[in-house]
Amino acid sequence: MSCNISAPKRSPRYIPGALIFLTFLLMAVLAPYIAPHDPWKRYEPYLGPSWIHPLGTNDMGNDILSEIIFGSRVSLSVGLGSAIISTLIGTIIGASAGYFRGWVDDMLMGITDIFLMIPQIPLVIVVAAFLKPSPIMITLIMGLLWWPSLARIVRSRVLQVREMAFVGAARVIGFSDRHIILTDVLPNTIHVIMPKFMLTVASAMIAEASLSFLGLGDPNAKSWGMIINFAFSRGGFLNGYWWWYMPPGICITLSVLSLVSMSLLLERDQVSEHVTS
Amino acid sequence: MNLARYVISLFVILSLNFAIPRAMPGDTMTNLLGEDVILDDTLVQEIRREMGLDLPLREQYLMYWKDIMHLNLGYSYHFHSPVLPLVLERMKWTLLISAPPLIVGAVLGTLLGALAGWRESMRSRLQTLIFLIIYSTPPYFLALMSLYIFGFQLGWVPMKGFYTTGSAGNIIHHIILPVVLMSLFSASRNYMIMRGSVIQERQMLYVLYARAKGLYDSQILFRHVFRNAALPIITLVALDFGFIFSGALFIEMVFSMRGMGNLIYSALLYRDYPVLQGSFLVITLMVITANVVADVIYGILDPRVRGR
Amino acid sequence: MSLLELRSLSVTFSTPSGFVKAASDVAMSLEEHETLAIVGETGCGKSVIANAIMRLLPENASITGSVIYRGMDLLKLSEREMARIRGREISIIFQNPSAAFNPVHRILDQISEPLLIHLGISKHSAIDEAEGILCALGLNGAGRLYPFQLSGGMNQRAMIACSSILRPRLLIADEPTKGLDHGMVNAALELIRSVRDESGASLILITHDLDVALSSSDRIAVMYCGEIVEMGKTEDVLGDPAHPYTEALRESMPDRGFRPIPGNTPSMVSPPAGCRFHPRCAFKMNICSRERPPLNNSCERSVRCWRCI
Repeated sequence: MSCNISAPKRSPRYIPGALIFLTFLLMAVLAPYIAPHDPWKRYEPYLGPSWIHPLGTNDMGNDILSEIIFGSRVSLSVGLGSAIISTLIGTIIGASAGYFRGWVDDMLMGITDIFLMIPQIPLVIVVAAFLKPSPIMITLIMGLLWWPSLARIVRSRVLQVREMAFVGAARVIGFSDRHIILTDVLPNTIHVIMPKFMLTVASAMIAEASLSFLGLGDPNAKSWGMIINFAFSRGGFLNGYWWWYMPPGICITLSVLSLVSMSLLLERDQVSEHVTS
Repeated sequence: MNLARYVISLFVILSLNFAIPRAMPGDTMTNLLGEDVILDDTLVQEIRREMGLDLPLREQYLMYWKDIMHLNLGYSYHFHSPVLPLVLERMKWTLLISAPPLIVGAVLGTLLGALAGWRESMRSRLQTLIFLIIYSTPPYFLALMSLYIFGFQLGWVPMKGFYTTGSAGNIIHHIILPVVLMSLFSASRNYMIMRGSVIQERQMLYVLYARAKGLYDSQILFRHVFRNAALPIITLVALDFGFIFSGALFIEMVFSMRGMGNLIYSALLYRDYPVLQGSFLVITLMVITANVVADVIYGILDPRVRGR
Repeated sequence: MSLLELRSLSVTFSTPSGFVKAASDVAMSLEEHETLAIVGETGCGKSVIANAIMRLLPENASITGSVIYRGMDLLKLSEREMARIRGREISIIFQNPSAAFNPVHRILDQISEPLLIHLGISKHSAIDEAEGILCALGLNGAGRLYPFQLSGGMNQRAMIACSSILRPRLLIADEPTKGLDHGMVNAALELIRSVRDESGASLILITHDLDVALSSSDRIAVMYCGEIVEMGKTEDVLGDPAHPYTEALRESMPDRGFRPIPGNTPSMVSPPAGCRFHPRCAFKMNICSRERPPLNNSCERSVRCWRCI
């Protein structure tokens, strides 16, 4: 029963998902260079698709394609940001609980259980209603709430890893706990963290889009969800301006789809690796 | 041990509910009454005294718990009604559109997911792709598009509301599209989980031994694998029931249905904090109850948990 | 006619690291009421043979050759026909009994399952019969418990009961003594021998322990790297090994002083050319690394070695 630290196999099945996600990442990074217009500049409102405005303009006369390109910045950074925060917290708590066991484990898992019981989305909604938050605030709230399930996964993996021979050897030699966790335990845990991380990015993006749709986002940070919200509340939907609300929805769905599919494939490879070992 | 966990969680979350309006920026009074309430100064002083906001926090906290014990969830100045009856009235409509999808989605998702995880075929791959797409779409976006196509363009279903005439047929006509949509969402989640779970269980030695005993393919799936693989679904479906009143939030918004979800939405629009907090309280109670129920069912289905 | 005959059976697994030739060109036969031991180091392909006979190999395995059981080729049967044979005609006992039982069902329900699916009798009488068998094994009351509540030894007895409940003609025991302590080994073997004799079955006993083979088998097949290297009467083969590997295996047993076999077990993806044992063999000749020795038949003994031509 050996568990090597191996990079995920480069299988062609990852490629579609990875390509889609990379495209959106590039879109966010290069937004000022590829957007045809300034997303805040006003042209004639309610224009249909044309060569100048490929996706038309909204009620304020903003170019919708440019809004969507810039919107990827908000949507992706909220998703990635809250996933990074919650993954960090979850990993630290889960790894400490699994590695030290005993009362540390009891205490940390007790806290985790309570957090697991909190109705997260409703709480986010309530807090957001009071704070009228900026994207950074939403990122923080979600990041601080979404670590418990990861903490549990990391803990059970670390419990396995710490029983492996090389960890015992490291302890006998006298390396510090911190050193062992960072160099021996975590590298062998990363393959259970990665799929979960991608799923967290995906659900944070959906949550951000949902909050924006509820009008709880920052109207000055036009994320994809916010664009749909505008289209819905300012008549774009009832008038059948599909070029207004369809593209941002498709962007959300595609990026979430790419993340979820990569996450599933990673998990799947883990299963088959276990069988061959 | 478990009971203590629930009690502590309940205590912590309800205390959070007490703390949020008092810790948030702005006047606590506004945070507790809602922002569209305009009152003259003398009345404000009177309410402030009545609600005990002059008292030290410790006593306010005790009062908060006393109110909860008496099921007193506060008064909505926006709806001019105590919160509890308001919530109860909306609940039954939400239940009507939320409960059937949870059951349909659980049955459909686990069955199809189990079959797809057990044997891979062209058909199961296509199925997985479709469910994956539904799973990845924000619920309100799919709802908007379906409403646009089936309501606006084709005119097959009404655009909004629970009913116009109130007859059973009329109500069904109104709720059919939301119910189908929510069933699909619930099914897609359960499908993905169950499929992954079966793929994992499939590798277990007991599956091989069941085959060695002479069980035929589908017998192995349904007599042996299904129950083990469905264990993670139990918790999720129970939690779905816990979130039953907020789960339909976006659907109710898009279809303009006056259920709990819409109540929460209008409370958000008008910053009607008492309703918001009351709803949060109801949801919390439901979710914690759902956790208890999930644990009980889990114990019945998994002897290893019960034995401990 | 033999009860079971394997004719040039080969099994290849396709894995990410290449094709693993787990068994190549295996030929052997088993008579009625006979016990054949298959021995070899871990990973030599002996369990693969067991699973190939019952067609329990995973989907990434490809099998060639034939498995003739009472005149029919099991590899040509449909999955449904094969399901009728498994558990009723041919049964297997796995080495990890605690994981072989379904964790969420009672022992009794699992033991009575073969009766239900093969005989179609009522659930009630199936349970009754299973209960009787458990009592006979001294496991009174254990049937109402779940696998995790039983010790490994108790689970093993329950599994032996389950696999033999329909009195199969062929019983395969895959490393039944692995992981058991010394006292338990004899009890387990005793039980397997008694169910074998009771149902008049033939037995294929797969083990890495030569003592186990010696005490319980009529004939023995020694496997190395997916090949049979020596086969014959157990006392003959183990008393006077003809193949250097058999000799080395015998010397590595605890009572002979634990002398390990030099070198490493070869890769199954690209096995050594010529005789597969030549890199570790003390009697290596020039031809050994060039040409693969055939399995030579002479007076009830088959040996795959250039020294024994």
